[in-house]
Amino acid sequence: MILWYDSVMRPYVAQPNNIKDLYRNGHTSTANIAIQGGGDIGNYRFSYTHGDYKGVFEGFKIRSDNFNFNGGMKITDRVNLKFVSTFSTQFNHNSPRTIQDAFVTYGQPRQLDVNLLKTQILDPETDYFWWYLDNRATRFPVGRVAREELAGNYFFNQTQNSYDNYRTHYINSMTISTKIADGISLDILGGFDRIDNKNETKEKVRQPLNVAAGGSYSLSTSTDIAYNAQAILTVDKKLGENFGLYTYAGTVFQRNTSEYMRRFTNGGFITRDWFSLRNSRNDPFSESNRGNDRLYAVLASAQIAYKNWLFFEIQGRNDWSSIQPPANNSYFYPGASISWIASDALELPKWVNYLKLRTSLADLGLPGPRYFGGTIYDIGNYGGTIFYTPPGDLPASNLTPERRREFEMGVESKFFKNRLGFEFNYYYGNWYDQITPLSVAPSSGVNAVRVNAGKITHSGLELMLTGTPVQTTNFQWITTLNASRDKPVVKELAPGIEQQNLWGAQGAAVVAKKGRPWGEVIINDFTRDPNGNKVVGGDGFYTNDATKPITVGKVLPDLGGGFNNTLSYKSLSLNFNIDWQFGSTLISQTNLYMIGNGSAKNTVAGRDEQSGGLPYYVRASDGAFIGLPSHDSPVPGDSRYTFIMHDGVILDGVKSDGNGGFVKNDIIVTAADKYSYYWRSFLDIQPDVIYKNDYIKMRNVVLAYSLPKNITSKMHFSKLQVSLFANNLFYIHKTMPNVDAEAINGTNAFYENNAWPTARSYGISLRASF
Amino acid sequence: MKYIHVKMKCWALMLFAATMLIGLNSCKKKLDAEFLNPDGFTDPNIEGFLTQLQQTLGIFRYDYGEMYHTFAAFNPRLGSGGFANAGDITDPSWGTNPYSNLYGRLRVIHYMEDAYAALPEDQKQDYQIFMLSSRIIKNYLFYHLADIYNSVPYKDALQAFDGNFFPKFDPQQEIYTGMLADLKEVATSLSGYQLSTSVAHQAFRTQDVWFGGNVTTWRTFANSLRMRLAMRLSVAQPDAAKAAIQELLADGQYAKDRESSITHVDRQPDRALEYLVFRSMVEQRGVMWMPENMYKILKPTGMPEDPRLKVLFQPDRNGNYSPMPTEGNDVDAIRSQITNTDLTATFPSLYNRTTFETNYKFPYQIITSSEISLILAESALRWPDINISAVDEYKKAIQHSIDIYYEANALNTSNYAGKIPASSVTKPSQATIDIFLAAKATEFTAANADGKKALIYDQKYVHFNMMKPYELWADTRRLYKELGTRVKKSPSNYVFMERMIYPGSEELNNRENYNAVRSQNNFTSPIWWTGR
Repeated sequence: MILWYDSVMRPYVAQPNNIKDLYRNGHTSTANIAIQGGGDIGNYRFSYTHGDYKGVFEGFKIRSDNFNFNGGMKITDRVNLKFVSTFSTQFNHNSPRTIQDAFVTYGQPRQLDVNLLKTQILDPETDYFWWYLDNRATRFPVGRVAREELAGNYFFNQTQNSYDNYRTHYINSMTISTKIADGISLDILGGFDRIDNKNETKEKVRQPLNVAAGGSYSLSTSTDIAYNAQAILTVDKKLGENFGLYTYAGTVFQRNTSEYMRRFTNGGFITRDWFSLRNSRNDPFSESNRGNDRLYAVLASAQIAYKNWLFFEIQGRNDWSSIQPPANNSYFYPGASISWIASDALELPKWVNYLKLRTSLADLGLPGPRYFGGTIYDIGNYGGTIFYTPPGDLPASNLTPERRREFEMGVESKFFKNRLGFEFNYYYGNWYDQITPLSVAPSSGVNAVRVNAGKITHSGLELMLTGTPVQTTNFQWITTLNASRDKPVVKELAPGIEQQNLWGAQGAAVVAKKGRPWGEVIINDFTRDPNGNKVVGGDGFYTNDATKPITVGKVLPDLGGGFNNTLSYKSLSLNFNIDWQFGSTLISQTNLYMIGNGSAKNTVAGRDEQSGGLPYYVRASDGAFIGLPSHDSPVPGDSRYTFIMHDGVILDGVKSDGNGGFVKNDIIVTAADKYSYYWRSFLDIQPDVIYKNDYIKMRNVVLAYSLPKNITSKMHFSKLQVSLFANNLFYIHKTMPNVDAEAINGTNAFYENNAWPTARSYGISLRASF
Repeated sequence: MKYIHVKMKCWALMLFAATMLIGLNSCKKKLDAEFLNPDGFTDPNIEGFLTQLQQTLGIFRYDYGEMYHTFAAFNPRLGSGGFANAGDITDPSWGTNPYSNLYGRLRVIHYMEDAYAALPEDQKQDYQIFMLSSRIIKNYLFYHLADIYNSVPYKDALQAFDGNFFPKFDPQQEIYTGMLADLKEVATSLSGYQLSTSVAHQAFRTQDVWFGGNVTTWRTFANSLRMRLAMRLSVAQPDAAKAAIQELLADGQYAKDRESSITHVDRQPDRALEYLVFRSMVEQRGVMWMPENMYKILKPTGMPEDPRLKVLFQPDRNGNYSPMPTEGNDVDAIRSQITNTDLTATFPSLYNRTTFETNYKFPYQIITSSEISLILAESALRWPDINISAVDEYKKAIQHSIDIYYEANALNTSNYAGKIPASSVTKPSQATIDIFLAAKATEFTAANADGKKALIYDQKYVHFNMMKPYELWADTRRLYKELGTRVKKSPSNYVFMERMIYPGSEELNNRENYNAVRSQNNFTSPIWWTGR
């Protein structure tokens, strides 16, 4: 029994659920109802879906509603009207933010009882933050990370505060198709896609306002609308016996508008927990943003068909975009393709059901991000005097549109009465004049340079094999294997600039380097002697050699894909889906921290005699570690302590002999220090936290049963299906230890940094149709 | 039928073409109009750029973000701020890296130069005053870079606009030579310069938010800056230092009294707790205790109390002025009593909150006559033939320092929460101050050469205290060679920081030039003018 941080005597034991107790079981439920009908005049389909999600993180939930209408109507003999509308709303409450220190860097203390900590969040009398009252922060030393990050930024925030997002998404489009004459029709389409976001943040006061300022309220709204209209005239005619002409021409109009405004309290609340902008100690702040852009285009395409098995198509499009500078806002891009249905053209063996070959060459022009190309200044006033602030980047001069040219060829085939399908596609693309800011050294006077830069080639292939290997009266096995590969190579960046940093950390970077595949990981190698042995410094630890950067791999995979199988026996079917990927290399921050704070299994080695630690003692005069012959050696006379140590470790390698040569390393360090090596002065990423990220994952399994007709018809259903499903089940193969290879934090794909665990889920679903 | 078909086809196509043509014409105007961000301004001018440069945080006005980290890093390391020392060996670190910010602040000078070059010839004469003042500011920023990082790009810097993205690193010696020469040239151009009633000069009077268009003050600023920089060379290039100081003494236009001291009062006191230094003082109270080493200087045994004691610091909960010990072992003895939960009853004493933390009218001391007098006193010791009285300058420096701190304290009349009434101090009579100054003068005269230099350093330590960490850091490094641990006011467990490391962005984006200076990229290589 020892005295815990809150002055209560309790046993000193490990808390095996210290991490698991931070989370809770979540659930998702979805309900959907759809009706459809039709007749002579038209047809319609309407559906409504409601979803509820309770996340594994405290306080996190999502609720969504989705309405969908799709209808077509025959107005006259020649005129058809089609209307599609979707309206969806979503309410997201307290999605968790990354709390780096508590959840990753320092790890969870193994003796921390999280269930006890959960009772130390709210002060029972006043409902303020437990730790800020009664001087508990000083009296109960649980540690800053547990108090501020876990108790404060996680539990208190997730359960007491609200971080709400209300989102509505409204998409409408209407198409009027008019048959002008035989084979000639005019389609006019108009619509808009509107997203409204409202974000409301309510943070409660954690301690009395006369002690410290606190509390905040913020409200932000944004509206993003994309308008879209086009008119296309189509001519579909036969030219003689063997030829057919299918051509269309038209115009397109697009417009995007966005508006954003946020207001928030400043300096804390005046009175406790009244969530209003009026409750702001100082005048509330506001920030806002707006932008518009538009695009006009004319396009035309002509396709000639020969006997319906050889097709030749040519197309061209010219865009005018307001995002490009007025001098360069028009750009033209053509394309051409040929496809040949060999199975119709030739007499192929019976087992070839379908064989199509195609090839195409297409250009594309893109305008880049809105407002990237202009030079604008900020305006301000200092005590009434106006000033102008120049942009931080070197402004673009004469920006031209981004361009892509892609060549593609592929084959689509089906064999053996469609029981085997094979599709293969190869492409080679050249992306050039990319509109991107290139970072430069700050001493050049700007943060980045805005240019058309970068020529990156993408080559890749896509493969899909589908098959029904087994097909009998009652049993069927359908399988699909798909694989794809994309290889981007940086051909050029900008004159004089050979390398761009995509992501960087201490002693490590993910770069785009001229002549190399995009996204290579470069770190500094260990300092080595001429024979390649690692050299330890005077303190017994490895160091990095900053003059020797090495490329350890690339972040993008060589090959990835999926393997989907459905086995059905009468009314029962089992579907399982496997995802796989090979060839990517990532720096794993989670493993880096787990090793550093001693949570990883491999940090046991050397910890004591049983785990292979070496015996040594600490010399009183200078604190040096002197090795001893055995763990049972007596305590030497010049030892600082009355006991000897058993956690000695000697790092593999050599040390300097003082004369420019190297001898075998014999410097003892503690096991704990060995693993926390990355906390040394430069925090350089060491080569041993780089892992290949290969994996084969069982993504989901669905077992479905369709009730037989005699039962369903009694209940007046036309079809009733029950299924059990499970997601994120397990890894069949994985090279990166301790983490879920797919749970990349946010949208950063450059390194692994999973603060949060991923969830495995199990469920049941019911589908009925009337 | 065919006829109708043709007619319909033509009709449709013509309608189509017409729509397109009409559309395209009005389209072009709309496309051009929507190119620029509507929330961006497109018509700036030189006058506005000068004000932008001056009001930028981190030049005259302290920046909350940088000072937050600077207080934490330097108060312990310079001994200018007491803290509850735990005794652990602490390696150098800063928590921020001012490199990119400093170059970023220089950026607008390029835009000024561009705008100036685009002016018609007859206007260039008038706008020259803007360019001259911006040159002074440019050197003011560059000396910070040079002092922190030793070698930095100087001649080739800020040339992104000309396509030079890979500037080489210039050695500190060349930067100092360049800065002193440039400032001398500007000071010469400003000599006898008179403002006219032209539009440009009228604008200069309004847009110059530091000095209100006072050319004499600009010249004083330039010359005082030259003196500060010249003294830096006292160890590595003493002849150049002496020559520069002699020249400036002859010129005579430098900070000599309160009126000619360069100070600035922030024009946005309402933003004090958002992004000004006052917020950093609030958030870094843990390093704002009265340091023991400063207490020993302000209240030495057997000598009168320094009048600045009461105005730099405030009493503890017992009404005494008690310092925070320096060494960890000594802090252990009082550790359980340390408290600042109640700011009216702290133990030990804090920096005076009336003078500093809550004083939003505090005149930032850019270059004061006090500092100049200390420079002259030291010059007199090093080069006796320049004919100044070291002890007179020494006394003058202390008098001016007393004056300016009492002035600052009196400016703050607000009754803020947690105020200790004794923190608003009445200035002692001049007679009391004279007795104190006489005692200081006796002490000074009795000391040997090195002892005198050390006493001058002590006065810089008191005058700069925690408000001017860059200057105190510079003088500590400069005098270390000659005076050793006499100028070390920090605890023994704090490893001294000689310089700052370069940011990763230089290594990544300017690799070749960076490799030439890689060997000095650490916290412990002394910079060139320290002579070590």
